Amino acid sequence: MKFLRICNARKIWSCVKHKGDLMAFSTNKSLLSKISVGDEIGWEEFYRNYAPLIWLRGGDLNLSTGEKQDLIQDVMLTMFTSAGKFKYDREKGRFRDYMRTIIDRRGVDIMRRRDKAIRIGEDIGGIKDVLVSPGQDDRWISEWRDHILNQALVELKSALEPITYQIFELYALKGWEPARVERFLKVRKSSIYTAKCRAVDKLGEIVRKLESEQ
Amino acid sequence: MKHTDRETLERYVSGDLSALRKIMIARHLKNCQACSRLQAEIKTGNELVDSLRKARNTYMDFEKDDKAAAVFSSLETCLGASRMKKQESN
Ligand SMILES: [Zn+2]
Repeated sequence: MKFLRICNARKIWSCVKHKGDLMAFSTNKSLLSKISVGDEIGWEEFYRNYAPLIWLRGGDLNLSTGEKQDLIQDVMLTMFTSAGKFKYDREKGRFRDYMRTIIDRRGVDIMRRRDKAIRIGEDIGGIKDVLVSPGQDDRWISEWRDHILNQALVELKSALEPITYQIFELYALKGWEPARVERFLKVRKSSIYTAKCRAVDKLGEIVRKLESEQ
Repeated sequence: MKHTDRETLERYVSGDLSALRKIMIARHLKNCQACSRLQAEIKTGNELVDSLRKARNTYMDFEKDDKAAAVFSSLETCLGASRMKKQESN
């Protein structure tokens, strides 16, 4: 598939990422929750949340960079109508499994296109072997977990006081020494540990909620 | 028996205490189930943060990747994102 207006992509991507932050404040309902109750979902929101997951899965399927780009596009085009409406049917089971099925199917299509020797309708056992090779299930579970954690981080940011989040980010995520955080944010050492505790408790709560929504 | 508060245990787990305090707390933990449980909870929380850090780094690599970002542009065309165009013109 050809890529149009690539030169403008960085600008639009920044806009989507920025919009993502705002979205976290505008809704208390996570994307997974919206999916599970069948709410309408915008493709930009879906893309922002799921493109990295699809990209990583493409790596598991040994797709090249260009093929991974195609994979994201093909998965998105499968999941959305031409009018940009999300078409997941809850009856199809757990969203995590549904998502993997779609990604893997589109991945197989791409591998088929690549391998000219395999014609459509012919046995594609060799390609399917990639999908069931050792470790694929574990890798998918781990990638899904990363996806949940990244979603949880967005929610955490909007759930905490800005200073609590800042302390958590510098001390816990970036690994700054407490003394450095103290000086930089002009806070007491005890507030650093208090903020970290509060953030970790909240993070655990959000992760449990997101996992239960699957 | 006086229990160890959570902040002190956090500092104990992260090694941010004097040698004497460390010895005192280690001795207390040997004899106190409640504080040992709290210490285990703190360690579990730290493992969650470690996983979050790794997950965040993986996704940051994706966001920095121009080739990954380029997909958005073509999807905008395919899925008819008139809203995005409106935003751009505003
Ligand atoms: Zn105790």
